[in-house]
Amino acid sequence: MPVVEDSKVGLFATPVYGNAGLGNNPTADQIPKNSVSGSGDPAQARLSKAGLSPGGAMTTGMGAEAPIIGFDKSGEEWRVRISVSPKAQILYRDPNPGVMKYLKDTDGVIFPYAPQVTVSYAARYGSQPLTHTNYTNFFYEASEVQAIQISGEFSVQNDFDAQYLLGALYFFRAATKMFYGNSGTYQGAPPPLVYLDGYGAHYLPHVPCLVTQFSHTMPNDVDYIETTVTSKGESKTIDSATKQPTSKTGAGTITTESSNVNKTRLPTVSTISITLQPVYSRTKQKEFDFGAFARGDMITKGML
Amino acid sequence: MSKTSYSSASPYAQTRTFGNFLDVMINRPVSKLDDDVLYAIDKVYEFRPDMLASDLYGNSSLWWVFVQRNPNVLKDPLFDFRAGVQIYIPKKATLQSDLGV
Repeated sequence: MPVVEDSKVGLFATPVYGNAGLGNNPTADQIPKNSVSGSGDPAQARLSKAGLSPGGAMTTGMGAEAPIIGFDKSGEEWRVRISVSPKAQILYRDPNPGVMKYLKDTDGVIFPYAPQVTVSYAARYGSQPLTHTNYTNFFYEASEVQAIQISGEFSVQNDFDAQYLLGALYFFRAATKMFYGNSGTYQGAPPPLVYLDGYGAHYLPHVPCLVTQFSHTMPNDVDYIETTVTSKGESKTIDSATKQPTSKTGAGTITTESSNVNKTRLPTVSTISITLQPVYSRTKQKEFDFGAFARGDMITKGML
Repeated sequence: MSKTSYSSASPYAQTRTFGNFLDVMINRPVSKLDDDVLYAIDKVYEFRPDMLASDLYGNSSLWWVFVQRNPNVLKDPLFDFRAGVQIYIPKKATLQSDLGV
């Protein structure tokens, strides 16, 4: 008697048949109702499990270099995305984005699977228990949009996915850092502002946020996939006459730049959790209109 | 005595018959295309080329085409069809043009 198990692969639960050797052909009533086929067709369920398509044509699940993160060319991307300003020259919009090069194609980090998103709104009231009264008096102090919690899974099935996940990790790592030390044009600036989009303009309307916390959970019970990353190495300038290192530039010097090739292993399934704090400039806050906000007319301002 | 005939999906379709007797078998090769899918046989299809043929092509009689496409890997069409063995899957269009099925 074949044993039918459920195995979570991606977003779908696909059936796996154990001990299904010679003569153990699963019958239609042994196929779980939540199988990929959805129609109870055992042949289709078996092919889906095997990553094959009817007729033997190539499918994206055959280990080909097909990305899990699809790019929506129609411009109607609804998945949760965290990006930087189009005018910014930082992170993946830097002329040399390095490991973040693939984030350019999706204009930021897109969560490939629907993440868990929690948005909290609060109105704060102070209380004043007056002497010899039956009820406490409340006095309005302020309202706030509290930190947005996002937790989503990333899967890695090929080299492209691995490089995309690596880019996302570096994006969030860098987004929690200030421009410190020897950071060039933006020296001394605080961590960059990011924008949160998703599920259409009325839910997450390009909200300006700060990344206040980022964590990446790497499970110990999944496989790890190796990927090769080429990054910019050290730059050396030497005097062409003496062949010695020099701090001078221009004529009479030779500048060489090395590149680092590193191999990195990334988990096939991992979870990224971030905390975003919506922020609005004083100028933007002045534009707040209660009626317009209530009608949903202020989505162009990114206000929650 | 009625003459035995084999369908186009049979490995013996090109082989001559004399009554109920077969002549020396005429092989029916399957074209090897570069974009044929490389597939590691799953546990569910172990020793079941007929089931894989049925699922892929809708005809379990085509169980023998995997051997024709992978002669160096599958010597025995049934018992070499083990889980984990990597074989190329011929496309249905290839079978239609090569075998007329």
